[in-house]
Amino acid sequence: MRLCADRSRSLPLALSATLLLCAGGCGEGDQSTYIAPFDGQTDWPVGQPLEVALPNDALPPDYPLDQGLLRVVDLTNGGLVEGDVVHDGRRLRFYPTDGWAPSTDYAWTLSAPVDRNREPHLMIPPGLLGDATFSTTARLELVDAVERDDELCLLLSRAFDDDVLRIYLDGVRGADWSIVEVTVGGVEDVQTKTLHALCAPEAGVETVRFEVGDSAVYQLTPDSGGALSGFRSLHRVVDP
Amino acid sequence: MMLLAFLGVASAQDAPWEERIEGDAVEADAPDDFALQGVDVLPMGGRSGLSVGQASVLGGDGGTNAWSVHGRVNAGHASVRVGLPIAAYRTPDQRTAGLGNLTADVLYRDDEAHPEWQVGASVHVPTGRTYTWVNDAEELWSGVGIDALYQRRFGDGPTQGAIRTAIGIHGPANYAPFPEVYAKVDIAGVVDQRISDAVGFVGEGSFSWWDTSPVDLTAMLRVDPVDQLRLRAGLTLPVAAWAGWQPAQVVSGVRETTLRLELHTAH
Repeated sequence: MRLCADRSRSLPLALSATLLLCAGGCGEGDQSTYIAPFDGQTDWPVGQPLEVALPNDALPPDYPLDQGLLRVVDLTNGGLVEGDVVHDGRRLRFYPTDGWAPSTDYAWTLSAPVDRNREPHLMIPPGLLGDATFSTTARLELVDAVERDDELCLLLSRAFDDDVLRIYLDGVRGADWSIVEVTVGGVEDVQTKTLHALCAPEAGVETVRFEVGDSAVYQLTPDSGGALSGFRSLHRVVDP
Repeated sequence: MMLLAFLGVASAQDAPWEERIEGDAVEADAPDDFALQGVDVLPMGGRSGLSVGQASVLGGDGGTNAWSVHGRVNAGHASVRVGLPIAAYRTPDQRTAGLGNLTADVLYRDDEAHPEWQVGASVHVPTGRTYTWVNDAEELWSGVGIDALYQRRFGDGPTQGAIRTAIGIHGPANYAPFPEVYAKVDIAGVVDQRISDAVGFVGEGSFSWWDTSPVDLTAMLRVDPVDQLRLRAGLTLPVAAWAGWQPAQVVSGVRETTLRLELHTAH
């Protein structure tokens, strides 16, 4: 089973919005818009550029690009990450000059293009604009919780391996979770590594407590009204 | 070289009203060597000649300068005009320059039955990879296109006018704000008011859609300092762009105007 996200700045938000539509397969995946890595993703390969997919060809070939459009900050060591933003067809890519450093956290910001009349316009969907974080560390995090057919799915920051997880649904531990491979808009080659979500076996869950080893605890609660759609907000973390 | 060749042919041609008529000489006003023309309204009447023009977009949204050369030849009932612009414009990191679209206009007139109107076609062919515009979408932005034209002139004294209507289809390079294909409807009117033998005023208004500047108003002063030479200078006001009515994603406001300088010769 696969979950597909489409038109995604951050995978969790997109997953929330399009889970139902794409659960059976994303037929127009090659025209999806996204930025990879997704918000909160970890274990990002050090040799993989940051990639923005737009709905149409970005600019004429060899047309210069505003380098301030996409900026990356090193959250671990501080400072802007030097690199080049290039465009190729409908994709923009940020190549860090020295590659991504291992075990480092980053944040990227995609800004709206400066309005310049009498030039080709770089059309970036508003949903792609903004900022997000990613990391080359291997730590496992809970990125978001989303709803699919009333079924709760917990999106992880990387592929689930042999990690020790403890998950409590409404205070009860021990449910039989299924591991779901996540793709984005049906584009298989966007992610060089698999992303996983864990989907609960039952519907109608009110609260979730998620523990990763002994290091991280996430307590998820729905919005007022009790719907699990309240989990859509990114990194909704109540005091563990 | 092509333009010069046109001129060579043109100098050997007589304008239609210069046909020699057997019989007594009749005193009459000398025919105007120069055509009645605006910016959108193509030359009507006049002799063959060469034109060199500059259009500079001034203001906060400016920075584009276009220079163009046009050669025009009258041959029988036809008038052929070929032009090529070159543009200097800004990009996010530098200024650059490139060739615009080669334009060929062919107009037919029946000097005996209907000397007041012309029909024809205008064809655009890309010669470079230029991505900017002044007031017309087809002049510089790389692309192909063809328009069918009808022009008609009015008046025969110090005040003359003409209208131009056109409809066409264009296939520009498909980068925003240009669509992949668009149809264009164009209507323009020009008035030429002679002030003295050597000085006149030219005013033009035009509407086009689809266009990067749908409504333009132009005012120019023309001066003929010597025989066979005409200078024109003036401004084009992109009023629709000022109102925010244009396909480009820019806010409304008076941020630009186009300064035009032209030199025309008649042979």
